[in-house]
Amino acid sequence: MTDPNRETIRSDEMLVAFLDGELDSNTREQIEHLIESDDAVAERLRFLMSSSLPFRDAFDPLLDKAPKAKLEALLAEISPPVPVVAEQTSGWTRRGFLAAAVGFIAVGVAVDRTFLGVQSSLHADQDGNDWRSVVAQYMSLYTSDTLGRGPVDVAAQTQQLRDVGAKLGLSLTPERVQLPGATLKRAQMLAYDGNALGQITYLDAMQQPMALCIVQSSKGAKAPDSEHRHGMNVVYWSNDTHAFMLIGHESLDDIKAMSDRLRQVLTA
Amino acid sequence: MKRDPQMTMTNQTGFIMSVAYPAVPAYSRAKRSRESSDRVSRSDAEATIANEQEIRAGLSQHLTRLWRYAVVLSHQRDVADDLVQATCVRALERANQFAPGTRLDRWLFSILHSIWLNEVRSRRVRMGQGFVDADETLVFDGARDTETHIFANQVLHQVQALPEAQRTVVFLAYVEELSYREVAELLEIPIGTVMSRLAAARAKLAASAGSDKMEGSAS
Repeated sequence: MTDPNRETIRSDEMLVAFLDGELDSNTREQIEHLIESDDAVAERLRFLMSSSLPFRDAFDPLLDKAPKAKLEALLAEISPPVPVVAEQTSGWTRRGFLAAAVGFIAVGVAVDRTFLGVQSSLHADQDGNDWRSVVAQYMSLYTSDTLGRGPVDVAAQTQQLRDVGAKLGLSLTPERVQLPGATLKRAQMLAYDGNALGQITYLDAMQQPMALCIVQSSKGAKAPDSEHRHGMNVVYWSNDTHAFMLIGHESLDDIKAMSDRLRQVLTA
Repeated sequence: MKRDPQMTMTNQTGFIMSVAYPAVPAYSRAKRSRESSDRVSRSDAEATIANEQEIRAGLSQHLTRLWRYAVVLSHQRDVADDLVQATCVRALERANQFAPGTRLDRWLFSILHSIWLNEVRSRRVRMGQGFVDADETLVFDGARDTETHIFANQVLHQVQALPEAQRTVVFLAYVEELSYREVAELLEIPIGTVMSRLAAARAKLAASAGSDKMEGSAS
């Protein structure tokens, strides 16, 4: 009866593991012995050895090709954890929310480039009620801490707005989206139902979170209307290419005034 | 002469895999968050936040390596961008699942791999998009000046032309320099499978490399 190891020890797997220094000393010695005594094994080893290529050198240039700034921005855009404690009212846990966020991205990855152009209108109900409901739910999880109290980094904001604008087909700059009495915090891409959703966040005069959200929509222009969701005031409107909503804790009059300003600037 | 990887494994009990890397945290704290995290007492929530900040710093440090791995898997830069982004979201979500003292980069790589395998790749296949040839998408220009670069580029293309299962193990073992065991753990496959994939890949690379050029270059 033949020793099962006899065949195994001379297999490509073992010879490659030998070349890779992955064998224990006992097995290594067996192979060294085989190389000396068996020409076929020595020849095979020489053949396999010719694939010991400079793999690291070959792949190192790829590191320089990585869009580092863009990736940094994507990372920075991911919201810090939303404090779970004081915000139980909405019934959304942070975990559920983040799971959903991952889901959005996964869908975005697959669908983004193929479908986004085709399906530029939201397939929600008639007046896009669904996306506003999701945004309101999402915003109800925000606290002033979510948006941070650090100094405003205008360069980062400019870049974020440019990226978001590019995805949505809008020209966005800090000047254009600045709102009186509010502090611009950041801009980021989210997704709703596979559609790109731009979110620009602010802290209002009372340091409460506020957001302007934008999706592409071909449902036609619609005059501003208002509603109350999750304890916040919402003003929403659309033009030929986009649907907008401004949501925050300020009084309805204030939200209206701010949305008027945005409407003028963003249609221009 | 195909061999069953399981056979190889069972016959090789007493096989000790070298552990080439010490288990030190792979991330520095240099880039740690803007806010100070030197809190005296931490509630659970605070501990989670602190952990997320460390993960964030680690992510920031490894972004380009994650992107490179994503390119190796997907062959496409834009998919790689998205994969890295999804990896960041998932890693931050699961920050409290990261075991301190283990390699953060390995953990991040395994998250990226599972997103690729379970979410992105399968969806793309279902959508009938299929995959593009390596040569078509990997137009990594430049690097034409010297012979070394031309050669490096050839190696890159040869590896990228391997079937996904093989190029993944080649990349992890020879570029990222993981041990067999680490590759096996990251990909959640038996070591025997790692060995047979590497053997098949190297036989293929050896055949196309031609033994004349490479004689004695193994190290």
